Amino acid sequence: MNRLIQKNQAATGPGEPPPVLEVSGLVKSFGGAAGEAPVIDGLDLRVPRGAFVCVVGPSGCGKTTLLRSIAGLAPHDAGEVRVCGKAVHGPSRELAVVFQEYARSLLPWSTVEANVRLPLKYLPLSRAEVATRVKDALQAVGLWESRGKHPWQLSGGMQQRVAIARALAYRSEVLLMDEPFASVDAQTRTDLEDLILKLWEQQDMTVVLVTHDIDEAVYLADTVVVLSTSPARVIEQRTVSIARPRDQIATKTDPEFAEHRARIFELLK
Amino acid sequence: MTAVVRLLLPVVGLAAAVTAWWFLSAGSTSFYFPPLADIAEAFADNWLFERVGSDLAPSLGRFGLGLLGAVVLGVVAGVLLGRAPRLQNAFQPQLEFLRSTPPVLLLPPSLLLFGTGSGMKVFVIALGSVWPILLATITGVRASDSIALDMGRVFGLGRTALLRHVVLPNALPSVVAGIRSALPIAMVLMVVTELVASTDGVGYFILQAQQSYDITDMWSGVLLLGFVGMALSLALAWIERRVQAVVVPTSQGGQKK
Repeated sequence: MNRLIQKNQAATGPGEPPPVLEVSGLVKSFGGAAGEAPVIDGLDLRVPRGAFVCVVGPSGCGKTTLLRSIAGLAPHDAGEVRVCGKAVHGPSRELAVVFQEYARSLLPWSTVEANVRLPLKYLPLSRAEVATRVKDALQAVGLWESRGKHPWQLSGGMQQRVAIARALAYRSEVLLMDEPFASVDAQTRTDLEDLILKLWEQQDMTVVLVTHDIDEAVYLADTVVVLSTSPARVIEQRTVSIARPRDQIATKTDPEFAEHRARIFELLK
Repeated sequence: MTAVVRLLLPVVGLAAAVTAWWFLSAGSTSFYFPPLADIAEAFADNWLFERVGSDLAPSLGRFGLGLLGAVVLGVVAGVLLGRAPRLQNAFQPQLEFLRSTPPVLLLPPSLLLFGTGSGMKVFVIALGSVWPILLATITGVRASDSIALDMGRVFGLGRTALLRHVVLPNALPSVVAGIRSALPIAMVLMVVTELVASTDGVGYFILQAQQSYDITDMWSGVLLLGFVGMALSLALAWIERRVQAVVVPTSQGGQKK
């Protein structure tokens, strides 16, 4: 509970600390800066430490492009992305990503445990520390028992939990999620939503989650960032102050939920 | 039932062919096509196991070294070219030229450069059979999953770590398929180098037998090469299946829940 209060202060309080993620004036077009119309045109975003931010936008508005720029996977043409105060020109140690395509982001020839351990092998950690982190992360997502299996032996939801465990074990400041629950069935989806909320509340992390699902965005977020159609810009930021912990029934019947939902729906039309 | 039939049919077919050969050739008085029984006898005399050490071993040794050289060269160059599309672009004409040149043509210049020793033979086998391995490696390396590569980069894997954990495992089935295509080429070159200039080896043995009209010996050598080729091909097909099962399990009967 203490942490929740801290979070809210971080998000709104005066004299706020520097944001953990800061995007300013971001411009990105394909095929080089010249000629082609930009996919992202002057996008600004500030994510305070410990926040849960959801980015929603119409499909094809450049959400994935934005995420790739933030992750340092695609160079941007103008503007700046800063993670923990440092400008991003390539993948940052302080950023982990959970991809939508869980089956492709996990290595099929490695076990669940080896998949989670892989990034840690290249960090300056002792063997014992690596083992502890892998075990903690897999236990946190409830897959420690399945550590010896291969990803293809698991259901889609379980595979995505392995990907989440890999990001947890990496212990970066920011967790970026690209439509992480878009490829699983509805039941699994709500389970995963609640899992990520639980993990966020327990662990010290900042989450930026990109989705096209308005309900999901309002349900999860402190702040919902609404993007325009292409070229993407931020058209509205809505602070969601529905009480935590969130609940699939209570939260979604809260009047505030309905209000945000209607407004964002209107914006995206 | 059908599985049993599928396994049995080749055996039945083979038995029928051997039986037919055996009885049709039994009364043969043709000098060039002796009875299978005589060939079998020669085969047992020569290859169980009198000449295994003196002729088969040197042949297989050169074949193995040559193929190993082709694998090392093909995989290293293939990874380099596959990871650097510009480099591959620059080398494409030369690759096409070398690939479409009949490998046997390596012989005359190699004879001049390296003489008639084993080194020349290994060189010809390696350089002749490297192309399918090289091209398959390039294809396999190029086919790395873009999301898997992004994942690796996001989680701080450097070039070598990406290569080791993402690119190479993904390319492995393709590389093995390339080796399988290289096998018959290496085999042909092994025999041809021995026909041209040699003092031992199965090819040399066959040539000697032919030139001294030991026709049954000649046929026994031909038969042996057939067996060796088949065994190698089967062994590689098995390895290919194993590799597939580990690297792309879902497409090879891995159960999905």
